[in-house]
Amino acid sequence: MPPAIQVDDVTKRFGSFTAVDRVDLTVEQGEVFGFLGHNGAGKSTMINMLLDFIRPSAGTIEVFGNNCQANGVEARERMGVLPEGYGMYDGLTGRQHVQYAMESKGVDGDPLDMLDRVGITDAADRAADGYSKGMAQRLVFAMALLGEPDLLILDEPTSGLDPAGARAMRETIITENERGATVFFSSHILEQIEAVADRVGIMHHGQLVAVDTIDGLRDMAGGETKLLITVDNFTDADVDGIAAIEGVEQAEIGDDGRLSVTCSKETKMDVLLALNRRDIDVLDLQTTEPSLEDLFVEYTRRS
Amino acid sequence: MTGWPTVARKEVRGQLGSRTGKLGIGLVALVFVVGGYIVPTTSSDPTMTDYDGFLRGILLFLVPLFGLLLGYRAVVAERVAGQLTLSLSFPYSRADIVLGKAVGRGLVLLGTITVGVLAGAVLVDYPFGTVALDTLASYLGATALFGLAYLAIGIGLSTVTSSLRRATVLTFGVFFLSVVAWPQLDGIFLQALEFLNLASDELPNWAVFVHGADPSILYQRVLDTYVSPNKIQSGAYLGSTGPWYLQGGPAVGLLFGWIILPMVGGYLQFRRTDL
Repeated sequence: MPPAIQVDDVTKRFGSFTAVDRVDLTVEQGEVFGFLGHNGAGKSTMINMLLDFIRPSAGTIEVFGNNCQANGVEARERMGVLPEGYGMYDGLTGRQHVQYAMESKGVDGDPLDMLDRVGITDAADRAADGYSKGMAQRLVFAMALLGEPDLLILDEPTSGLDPAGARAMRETIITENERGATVFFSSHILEQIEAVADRVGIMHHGQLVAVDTIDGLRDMAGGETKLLITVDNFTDADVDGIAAIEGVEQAEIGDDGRLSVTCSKETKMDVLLALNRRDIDVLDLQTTEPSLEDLFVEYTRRS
Repeated sequence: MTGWPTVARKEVRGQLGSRTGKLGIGLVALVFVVGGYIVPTTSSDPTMTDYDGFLRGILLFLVPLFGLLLGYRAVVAERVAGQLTLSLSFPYSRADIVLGKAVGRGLVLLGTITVGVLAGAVLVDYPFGTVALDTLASYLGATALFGLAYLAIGIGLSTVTSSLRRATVLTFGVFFLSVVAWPQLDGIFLQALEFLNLASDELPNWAVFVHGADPSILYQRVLDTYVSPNKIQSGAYLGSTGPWYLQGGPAVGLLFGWIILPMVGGYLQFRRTDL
């Protein structure tokens, strides 16, 4: 079974600017892969090479074993694509857009069913060049879903969508994945990737600086949890006592007077029990786990 | 999977569906019809030769303009505005896109000229004139080739540029150079060749061939051979006694060349470019 996406040592230069720098990446069939990076990090360049809009300066890209440059049509036959920077066809309604996509992909069916699925049935017979960004995004997403593609390529899929629309799209992504589709989507919004992706790749300045599961990335960047505890009374000795617990990395009194403890996930309860043994009442407790944002800052700073 | 015919069908629908498309098609067809309406009032026994004589001066500008305007936005406009991004995310090759657009717009041009010429010919024929079918076919074929050549040049320009403004400038440059200026330059060529002692009094045949390789002169040569053979010119066509390469047949071949070369050249550039 060939991987859904196989990228081998791919570089893309525009003049003296290197947009993608020696990227290796394998996305297995059935995965939801989140492709994370700031604007201009090289995500869209990478996706545009998958679609053969632009050609790599070096290296090869394959989708289900089809070279994206030499056999681009075969590669795209198995893809459903929500690209970046598209425009709607002049004078065609939403329904006609889906109709044309169906003809192009050789898919039969009722366009309204697809428009229904993304919730723009009401606008089906309006000219699509008058759609809002969010509606256009839903329409093209509907076109991408046609014909049950084996691989969904979604470039910034939730841009222009309101929170409800973004949630609906995430649910559709999960549904499609359960059907068996591999999903490759890019975003600079971390929560969206966190919510659906099995694995994450982080692009920075054209390089793929990390590829891992979200948990794996967390572990790699230090799997600590931070506890912010509001207590009624304690002494420096108590703080030292907490700091001495195995698994606690740091314990100190913060500027706001709260006890701040950095520890591994498993040590949380030990800290609370220790406070209880010292007759210190816990009035309030707040825990923060490192978000993908923290990981992202950590990784992009390091490279 | 479905390829260029789907693209071509959409092109035809798009041209017939847009207001500017309909307007252009209507105007061009109307000129052919009006010609057929007026010619019988100026001649007592009108034929296609009279029709040709009446319309040629207008068509030498109108048909290239129609072809170029129909072609020059074909690819670049969708490239700039992002529809091409959508089309190429479907399983189409770039050849499918270019071929589909060329065929679709070619059919629109052929349909317009055919309907216009046939309607014009009917008006010439009835009630007092005569239209020989072979002359009509020659006239229709020559005019269609002439239009298709400029359509192909327009689409060729459309595939090699990445900005709409550059495409527009190039298109009008081509129109001015090839349609307006070039046919008037034979005098200057003659003077230049005389200065070089390569000619005296009139252009040598090879120079007539080179100068006459322009589509609008080729079109005239074809018409002078097959439609209006009685009015022999000294310029583009030297009559049936001239060398074979200045006859109508090779001119038809050259017009085909003007259709194929810009398309192929434009496509080869388009195929390897980053969008």
